[in-house]
Amino acid sequence: MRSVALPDALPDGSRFIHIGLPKTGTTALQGALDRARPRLEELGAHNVGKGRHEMRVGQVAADGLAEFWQGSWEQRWQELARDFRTSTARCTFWSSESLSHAKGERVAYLADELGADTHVVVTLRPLAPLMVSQWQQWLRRRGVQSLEEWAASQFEAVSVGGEVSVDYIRFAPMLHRFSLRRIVEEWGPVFGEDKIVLVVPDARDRARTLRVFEHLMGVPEVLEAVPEGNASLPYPEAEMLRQFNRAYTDHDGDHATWMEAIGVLARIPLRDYTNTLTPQPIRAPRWVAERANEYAAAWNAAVEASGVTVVGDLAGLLVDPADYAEEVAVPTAVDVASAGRLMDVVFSAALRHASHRHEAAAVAPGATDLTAYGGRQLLGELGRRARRRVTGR
Amino acid sequence: MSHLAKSLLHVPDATGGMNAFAVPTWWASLEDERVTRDEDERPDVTVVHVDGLPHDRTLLVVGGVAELLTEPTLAGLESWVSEVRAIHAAAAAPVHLAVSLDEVTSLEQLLALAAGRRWPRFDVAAAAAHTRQPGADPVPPQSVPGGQDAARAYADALVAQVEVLLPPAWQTAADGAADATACISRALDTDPDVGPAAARVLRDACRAALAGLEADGVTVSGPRDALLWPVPAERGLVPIDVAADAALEVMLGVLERPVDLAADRPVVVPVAELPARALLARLGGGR
Repeated sequence: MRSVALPDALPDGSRFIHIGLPKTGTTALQGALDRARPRLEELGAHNVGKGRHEMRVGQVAADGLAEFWQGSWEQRWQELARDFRTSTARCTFWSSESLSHAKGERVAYLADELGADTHVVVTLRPLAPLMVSQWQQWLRRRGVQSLEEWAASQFEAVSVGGEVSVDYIRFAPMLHRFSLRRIVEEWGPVFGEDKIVLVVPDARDRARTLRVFEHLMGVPEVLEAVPEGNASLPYPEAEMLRQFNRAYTDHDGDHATWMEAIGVLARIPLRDYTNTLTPQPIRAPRWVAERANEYAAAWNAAVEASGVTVVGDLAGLLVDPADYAEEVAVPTAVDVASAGRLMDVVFSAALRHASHRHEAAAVAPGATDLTAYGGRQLLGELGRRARRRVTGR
Repeated sequence: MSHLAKSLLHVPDATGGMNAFAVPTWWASLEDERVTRDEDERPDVTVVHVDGLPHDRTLLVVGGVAELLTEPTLAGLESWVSEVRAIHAAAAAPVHLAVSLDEVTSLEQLLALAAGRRWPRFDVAAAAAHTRQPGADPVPPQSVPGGQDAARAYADALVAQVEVLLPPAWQTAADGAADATACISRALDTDPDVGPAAARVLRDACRAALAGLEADGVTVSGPRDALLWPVPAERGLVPIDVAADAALEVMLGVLERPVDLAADRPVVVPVAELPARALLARLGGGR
């Protein structure tokens, strides 16, 4: 392992991908990269992504797109990969935490598509608070377990040694996806351990990650912190969402409906709702912090034994369990006004979803009413189409 | 739905807060030949011959839980559940429990409830379109800023507004909004007969009782949250599971409505947008 306080600039003509990890300040970083895009281009640093983050494109690239989603992201991924591969900029980069979904052969595929000489940058965060954030994210995917139940199931799914004890096809268990050991073992042989850069955050200096990326790109201080706009739900509201998911599941609600109504249509309203609430960070209980430290320590050992570059102090990935309460009370009540606002979010999303479904049914074959048209009208329309086909107009 | 054979809907006379509408004068006022009564065989049941039900049903229309229990206690709940079970066991067809917070006033409404649909209907597509239309009359937001009293007053104000003659899209959107607001209003007891702890126990027991009835083969439709005993808010806070029940009901209240309209309402699409096979099928006499 090579340890540095700040990295050197990558050589001219270099390319790098930033693969997350999720919930490590990626949204803020991507916002800063997007806002500084014109200036970065002037300085020779080319961002192949559009906007802040093309999440679905990243998921397609990593083979991590849920079957629920349907769209034309494959084409955009091919376009983006071509731009990345063929760019003549002094420094070319793409940031998508979705890429951390990639595993095994898909990592090799990414090397084929993007170039095996690509550098891989990974931003990190201590595992204990990261797990709390992941639990919150999971609630937005219809999760029903409490924080402690969920944490216990994560620890059970993957051992400290890295053995995965649950079956999965596409989406690896969280502690496997986030394992630094796995990243070194799977990404190292493909891209080269010397091309992997792990960035440990500095709890005292939140802007430091921006400085790290400026150094990598070889540009002056042009990145500015951008409000993330994706605040976490306070604990009572997070619990309310969880109980809503539970009630929906108990009612035998189907996943596709939940995903479109709450996962998609309510995503922005839910974010706006969250931003109106008084922040109340959720803390894991001490046992979760202690268990998370066991994993983090084992991963750190794997990193130390590798040839990757670490920016910052790996010890910063451990937490002091004494800072975590023995027990954390789970809220059982929520502010009436807040409950009302969540209902408004749900109502609006359900209305839009029902409307979509209604429109889809309206245009489905067999759902249309043809009695409004006489035989002459129908023959005329068929004749017009036949003529168009013959004349090509 | 004409492919479904005629089914029999058995409607017991008003009993224990259920089927309050089902009295001889109401049936007589319908003057509908589908409604029959055999005073010799089943003097306390009216039978309606209907299309569209998958099988025969015994219908019990119920309102809020407070109207059903003789007293707000576990014994009161058990008494009501026993009565439903007894009807279910003795009836000619399985019991369907249709929750309706509106009084039954028409056969059309009754048949919609029997089919597991919600009443009143509203056009969800129009409501959604209205809420997205820039510059449209705004539908009041659904927040309940000051606690349960405000929620109730808010719902009352909305109900009053929708009685005014307004564009249909606004009205349908407002109908849905009022429905949503009423959910949390009815989950919160502003004039509690029992204390907070007892209310929670009763609510949990109601939830278990519904699950038990369903396990026995009773089906339930409509806003089932109304069958859960309301709890008082304390210092502006509401129990999280209660808020979640209300939010789910808000969602289902919207999602379960377009089904009402889809089967009955013809959808006319411009002929140029129809696939050729549909046109040919129509010319050949098909629908």
